[in-house]
This record gives sequence, C-alpha cells and structure tokens, in this order.
Amino acid sequence: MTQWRQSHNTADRTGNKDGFHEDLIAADAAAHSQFSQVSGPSAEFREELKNRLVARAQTQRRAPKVVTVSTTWRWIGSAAAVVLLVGVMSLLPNNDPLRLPQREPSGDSGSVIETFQTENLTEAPDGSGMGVRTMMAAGNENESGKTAANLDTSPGTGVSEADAGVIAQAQVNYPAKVMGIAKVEVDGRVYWRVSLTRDGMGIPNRDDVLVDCQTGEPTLEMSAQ
Amino acid sequence: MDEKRLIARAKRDPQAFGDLYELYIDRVFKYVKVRVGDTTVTEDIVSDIWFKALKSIDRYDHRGKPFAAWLFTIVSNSVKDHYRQKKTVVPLGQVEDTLISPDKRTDSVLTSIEINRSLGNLTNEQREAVLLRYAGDLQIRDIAAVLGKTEGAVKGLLTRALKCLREEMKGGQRDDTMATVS
Repeated sequence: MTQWRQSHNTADRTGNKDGFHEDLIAADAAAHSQFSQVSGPSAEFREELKNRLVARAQTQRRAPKVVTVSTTWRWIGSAAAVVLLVGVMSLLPNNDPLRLPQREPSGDSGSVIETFQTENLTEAPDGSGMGVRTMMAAGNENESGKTAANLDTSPGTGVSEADAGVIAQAQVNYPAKVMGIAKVEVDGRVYWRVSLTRDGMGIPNRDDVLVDCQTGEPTLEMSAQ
Repeated sequence: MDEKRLIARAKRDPQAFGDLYELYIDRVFKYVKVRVGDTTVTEDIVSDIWFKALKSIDRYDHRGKPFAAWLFTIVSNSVKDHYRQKKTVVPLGQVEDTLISPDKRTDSVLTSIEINRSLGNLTNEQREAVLLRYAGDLQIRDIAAVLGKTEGAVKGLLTRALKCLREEMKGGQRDDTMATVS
C-alpha cells in the first residue's frame, strides 16, 4: 500500500507501457513492486517438489503408453460403425431362396394363399395346386426345442394352437415371435393363421403362416412386409 | 534456452521439466499464496498444480495458448476447485485473518494481508486480472488468454482496478493524515 501511495505521488510521468494511461504507469510499477514482496516458496519445499516431479516424470516416461480417452472413443466409434453397418445390412432385401417365394396364380380356387416352388415344397394333398412348404423344411429345432417333425400332425388328430405356432415359427429364417393365432377357413379347409414377427432388433419382418388344422401342413402367406 | 524448446524437451525429458518448473514456481506460488493465504494450503495446491501440469504437458501445443497462459489456467482452476471443495467462500481481504494464526504472521504475510484487503474492493474479474498481472507476472496477452478476453478488455480491467486501488490509497492517505493530526 505504501508503494501505491508513493506511486500516486509520483504519477503522471511519461511513457505508455502496456497501453496504460500515463498516470497509471507508476501505479502499475508500484503494484509490481508491492506484489514482489509476497514471499515465494521455501527452499525446502521448492527442492522437494522438484525432486518429486522429476521422479514422477521419469516413471511416467518409462510407463507403457496407456489407452487414452481419445483412443477409447475411437474404439467406441468403430463399434458403433459396425453396429450401424449390421443395421443397414439387415435393411437390405433378404435374398434367401426360402424366404422369397416365387408367386404363382393360386389356380382355380382364387384363394389368397400363395404358392411356392422350391425343392422344399410339395404339392398339396388335396390336389388344389396349392404348394406348401413341407415339414421337412421345418426340420430345424425351434426355440422351444421342439422340432416340427416331432409334432403329431397325422390326419384326424388335429393340430393344437401351440403346435401351430411352433410349426409356423419353423417356416421363417429369422427368430420369430408369434403375435397371434386365429382359426380361418380357406377353400373349405380349416387352418390356423399364425401371425409372426421378428423377435428382437432388426427389420420388422412380418409373416402369416397358415397351418392346416388337420395335417399340420404349413403354408406361408404373402409376406406382410 | 528458448522457452518453446524447453517445453518441447520437457515433454520427454524429466530434467527439462524440472527446469521449466524452476522458471515458473515463484510466480505460481505467489499467485496461490495471495489467493489462499495459508502457506501450508498454498504448498498443497501448488504441488497439485505441478502434478497436473506434468500429467497434461504432452497435450500442450504452443500453437494454442502461450505456455504461461496454459499453466495459469490450471493454477486459476485449481484455486477455484480448492474453494469449491471446501464449500466455504472466504472473501478476499479476510483470508489471512482467518487462516493465519497471529504468531505466524511475518512481514511477508502482512504484505499479503495488505494486498488482500486492497483487492477486496475490486470486482472478481478485476481482481483476477490484477493477480495474474502482478502475482503471476503475466503479460497482457497471456492474461487475455487465461480470462478468455481480448487484450483491450484486459487493459480496461487493469486500468479500472488500478484506479480503484488508487482511490482507496487516497482514502488511506487521508486517514493517515487525520491520525497524525489527532
């Protein structure tokens, strides 16, 4: 404070250091002088801290390069890109021959039921010209561990609602969830109409499968996608 | 040695970091001392500051802030963190009175008390500019970089701060005169 007082008395000298107005230059110098009287660190502290810092710096230099935050973010970015890519891939049309039926006129019945021609299809036993996917195609084990082939689908015994769901799930090549089952009559025959949708993330695939209530023969209806 | 080269060396050579430390330790210590008051607390904060600087010096790029501004940004933030952690706000001007026991007061400490009392009348920004300028001994451009202001704005802050300090000084002078007369 004494310094600032002196500077006030000797202010208005010439010069324009650091852009200060002339009458403040002396005050600026006085402030510098005043603060210079504040004590610095003790010699012991200064030396001790320096030694600790140098020792830490040596350890830091020797240590293997750790994964920095930026590297981590790069990894996260890569993972996100992969997830995106998978998402985009699943948006593309499915080229699985089992999934893309070749549609044909359904013959004289005028039924809405689609016909299919793949090696896994057989002609409908009633000779209606309606091709159906056979149980062989559904030989893969479904989620409940029950194979479609194990189901009792012999004529006359009838197919339960639950079995119809299992048969229908085996007809599609994606993890399917049964959304609803209803009994319908098509061309004088009774079917379970099983509505399926993709279970989990991905494209919302949706299919309806007709399962013959008597024989258990499945028929994939026109894809609802 | 040129400071830029010293900083570049300090990134890979521990001894060079020690030299850099020697270059700035007094200024850093004085700044913290005036802000905090107590020597022991000051030493803790200063240690913390230098370890932070050591940890992040690899990321320092001289094309950004000048080194002094970079370092004093750490310094300023560390002091703020200290008060935030304590969750108590001790106004400048009362720091020494509250933290220093009377038997520990030396001439140097009394100088700090006097400075703190003077700074107590300034705005936060003016006080910060004054401390960076006179305790940290920073140039105007470095202060501007620390405060995120233009050099002109910093000059304005310092000019108003010095005027304010001078006004106070005039008052002090009158008090002294009156004391002498009485």
